Amino acid sequence: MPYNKEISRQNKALFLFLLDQSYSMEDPIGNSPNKKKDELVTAINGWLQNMTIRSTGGEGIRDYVDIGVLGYRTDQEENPIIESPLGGALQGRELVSIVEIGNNPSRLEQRIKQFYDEDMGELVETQVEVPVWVEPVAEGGTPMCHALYRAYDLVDKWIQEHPQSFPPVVIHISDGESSDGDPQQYADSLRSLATHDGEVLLFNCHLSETAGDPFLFPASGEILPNDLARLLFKMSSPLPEKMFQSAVAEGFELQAGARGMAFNADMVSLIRFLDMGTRQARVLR
Amino acid sequence: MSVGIVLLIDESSAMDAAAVTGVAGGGISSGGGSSGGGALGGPPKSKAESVATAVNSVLAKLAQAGDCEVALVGYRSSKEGESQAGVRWSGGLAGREFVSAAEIAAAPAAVETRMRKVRNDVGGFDESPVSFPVWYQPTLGDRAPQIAAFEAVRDLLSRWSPANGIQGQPLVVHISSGSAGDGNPLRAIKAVQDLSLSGQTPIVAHLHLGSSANTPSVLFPANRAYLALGPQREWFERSSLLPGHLCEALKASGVTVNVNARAMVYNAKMVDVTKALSLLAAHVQKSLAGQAVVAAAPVARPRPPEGGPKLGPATIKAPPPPPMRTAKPAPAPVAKPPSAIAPPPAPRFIKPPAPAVHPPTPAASSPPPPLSRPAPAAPATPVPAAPVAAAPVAAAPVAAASLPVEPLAGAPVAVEPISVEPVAAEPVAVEPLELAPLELAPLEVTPASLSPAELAPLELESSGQSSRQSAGQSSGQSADSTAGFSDGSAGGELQLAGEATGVMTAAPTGLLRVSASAGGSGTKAVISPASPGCLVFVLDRSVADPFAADLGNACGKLHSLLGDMVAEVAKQGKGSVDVAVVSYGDSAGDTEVRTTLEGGLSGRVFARDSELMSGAVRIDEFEEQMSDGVGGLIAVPRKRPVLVEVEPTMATSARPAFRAVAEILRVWIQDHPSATLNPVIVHLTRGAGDTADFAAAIGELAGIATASGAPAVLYHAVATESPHPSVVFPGSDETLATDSLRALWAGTAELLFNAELSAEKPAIKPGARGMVVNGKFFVLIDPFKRAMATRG
Repeated sequence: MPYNKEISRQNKALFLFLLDQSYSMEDPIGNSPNKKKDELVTAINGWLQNMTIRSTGGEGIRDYVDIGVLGYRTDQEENPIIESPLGGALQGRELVSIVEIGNNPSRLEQRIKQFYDEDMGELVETQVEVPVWVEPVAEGGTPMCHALYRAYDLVDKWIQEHPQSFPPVVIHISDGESSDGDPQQYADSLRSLATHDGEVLLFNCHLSETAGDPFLFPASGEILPNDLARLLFKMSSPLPEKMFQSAVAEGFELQAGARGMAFNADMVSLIRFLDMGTRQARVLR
Repeated sequence: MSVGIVLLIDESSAMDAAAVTGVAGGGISSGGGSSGGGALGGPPKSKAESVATAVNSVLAKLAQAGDCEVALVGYRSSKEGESQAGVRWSGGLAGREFVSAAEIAAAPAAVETRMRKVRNDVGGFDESPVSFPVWYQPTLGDRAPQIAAFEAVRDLLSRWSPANGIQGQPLVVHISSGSAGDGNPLRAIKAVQDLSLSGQTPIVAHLHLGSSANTPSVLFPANRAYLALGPQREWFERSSLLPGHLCEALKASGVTVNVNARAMVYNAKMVDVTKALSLLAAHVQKSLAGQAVVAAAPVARPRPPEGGPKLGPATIKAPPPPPMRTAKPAPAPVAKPPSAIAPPPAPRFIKPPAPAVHPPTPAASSPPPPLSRPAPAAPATPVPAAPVAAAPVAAAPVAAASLPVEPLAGAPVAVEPISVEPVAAEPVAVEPLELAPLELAPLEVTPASLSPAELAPLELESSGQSSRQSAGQSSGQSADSTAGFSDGSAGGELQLAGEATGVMTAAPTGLLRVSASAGGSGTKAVISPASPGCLVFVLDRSVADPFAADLGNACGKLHSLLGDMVAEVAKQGKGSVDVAVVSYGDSAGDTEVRTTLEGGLSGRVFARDSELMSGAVRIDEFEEQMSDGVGGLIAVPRKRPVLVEVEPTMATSARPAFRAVAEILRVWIQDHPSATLNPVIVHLTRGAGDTADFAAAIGELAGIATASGAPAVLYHAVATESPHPSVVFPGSDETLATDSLRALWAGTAELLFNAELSAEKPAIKPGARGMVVNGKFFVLIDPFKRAMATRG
């Protein structure tokens, strides 16, 4: 059965994030005053911190997971810029291991974290210090095809070094249409790469500017509101069995054939999307 | 021979509300402690607790009554929306369906010690402990899936075959607190009444629990005409005739019963429940003695014209089917790396027109495009050339080359077919050029609808916003005139004095539209507890099929939306908002309009926001997920009060409801002569109504305004039955897919305090109308808050 491989030292996993850094990411997300670019890096940095904690054992961080982060945008002359947004000691590195992530945050930041106090029934704010690896960027256009093309090279090379692993999971987060052509074929070619455990999983999340309802893990393109949503749907891999069961157990109402895709996502949906898409990494041996 | 009894009990959250005992100062119940918080002290018991006590008490009696078999059935829905209807025997009887009297006596789930109170000689009470066997111990769920419940009962009865045969008519007693959450149970109940078990047809009796000591109970009515339109008549239809021997038994206990009385109590108090349940033992005894009189079949009434009654003994919902996954096989496990499709050719990169880092204007970065874009108003010519000119006619050849082929993705301002940016910085462009519309934007403009008067407000120097708005308006009007609204002369122009605010213009189609900010005649809108604002919800109960068991039906979704909005008002209203809820639906071919609240606010039309939580029929509790600010999620418990609970019905005219709204608003306005904020009306609907009917309906609201001249504004919250994309506060109707929705939009006012809202919230553009389809109406409380803030 495919998509069954457990993540271990011998069979590392790869999570590759493709992040839209186009100018429109400067706009607010959903119905909140926060900008898409800010919410996105908050979610990614939060995920990286969680993954670091999860990978940490008695003897330190276990080298189970490789992480890739690629941002994509254009410069003033419309030349595509596909580069890693990691900073600090990991500056410019496209592919790093979780050990390097854990040991090298770019900086620490004071943030406000909210808790729910059940005894008093109210929301409480506290100050926390969180590690930051990725900084927000919003400039230029949306060279999605270029990004997927670069991702192909990265993933192909990684697979050659890890042919037995759980297939790489590519998480693509954007807020609009591609401005360098139809990304469908690039997505198809990326998804055609495979390890012995199955084909590469490509999950797409679209960030919303409106206060409309989000779509999470739809099973058919018919219920989706427009062509962009349907395109992203076709570009997205169906959820493997274990992820599907895990989502259902958590309360998602999924139909058979549900794909790893979110449309009109607000911050809560983005976080749930990230959590679900990387669910395989919950159990690290 | 055994007599069959089915006790069917509501286990929805509505049963958590306090029971009404019906005896002044609390009562003396044989089975329980003090009932009611009256003279005997103690906190009031919930309906669930009181009913459980009554049921356990009657089970103890039935265990001694003779040869009978009893099925104990409960129904509720889980938080996830699954119907849970089934037998509730527990302990030694767990899993059993019909249980004989002897077995009941032998196996209570538990035995409690309760204090029986007996009046003593000196006017007080003596307490003595008694053993109280308990069989029924309910767990409450969320909503009340009555269709699923009666389907379960039908299934149980059809499979029941006692060893010694059936004697007398099986008797189903249904105890509930409110409406069904999954549709109209009429058909499911008829399916039970239509059973024939050894030639005996079941009797179905309904005991509906009241919520207030002040509302009178309706006991065993015989004549539909004397019942109030609405739930009383509906339950009447669903109840069997009382058989003669039970009429006698009731008369013997002092209850007046007429000929053709139905087995029904509405707004029952616990005293009535006890009396009704005492009928069970009488029924068993009389049936066994052969003295039972068969109840005649209820008089048939015209059924709604659909397909046949729902069949099928579907009981408890089957779990979702296992997903069928056929993952692609992994490539052959050979040592060499898996083969790959050759990477695609280097991608083309089509230049987006004007990517920029800084806030862009269309003319800012790339040189040519603005010249090829037309101003929507060439002031001289209302007919700007052939609208769909194939070749962009432009005096500047540069323009043609840079006309993008793709939609202007990447340009910060999307170009929509209708709203076109004027040339902000180049007035020169107007005169010499013959401007053809953008290729992408076939601006179908017919000369008739673009009169110079409408184009007049468009000036090239004006900001992009107002021209977009006007363009939207003109196109909206052309859409109106082509949509065929015939009522052209009904509205006329309704202009109120005071040009800055509150101008209500009736478009030529007769629909009302408010396009300005709040308050009337230039006065600032202010509300306070002494001079409150006014908010009326109008709930459309129509669904495509009211008899389909569907916990997710449109009416239910609208209830949730209503609950969310009421919760918002209750939380932030600060005692300054009067709230009313009007619902309308079809009842036996007539339009039934209810204007009063239910639960603790029963009988009232308006209630103040501060009373809503405590007066609700019940409070729905749910969890909302929020971002914790650092990339994680927290689950926050939230409460949603339910002010009214109505069943879905067939579609009906909206006009009587809007007439009723106009009437209650007139009365309210008369009672509040100092009101200054526009009354807000929110129409909750599935958006599938008849457009002509809707036009007539909102015509009823014409002229409704406060004494200060602030006209009522009509908003819409829509939950569609078939999938439709979310549309939130649209400035035009182009994202709306159906004629009905577009008609609703045309009748929707712009959001109050439009200018302030669009400045503060980027999701709201100027000219946004107060309409949301499949989304959250998140600025409902906004005008009220602003009116509070402006308190001098």
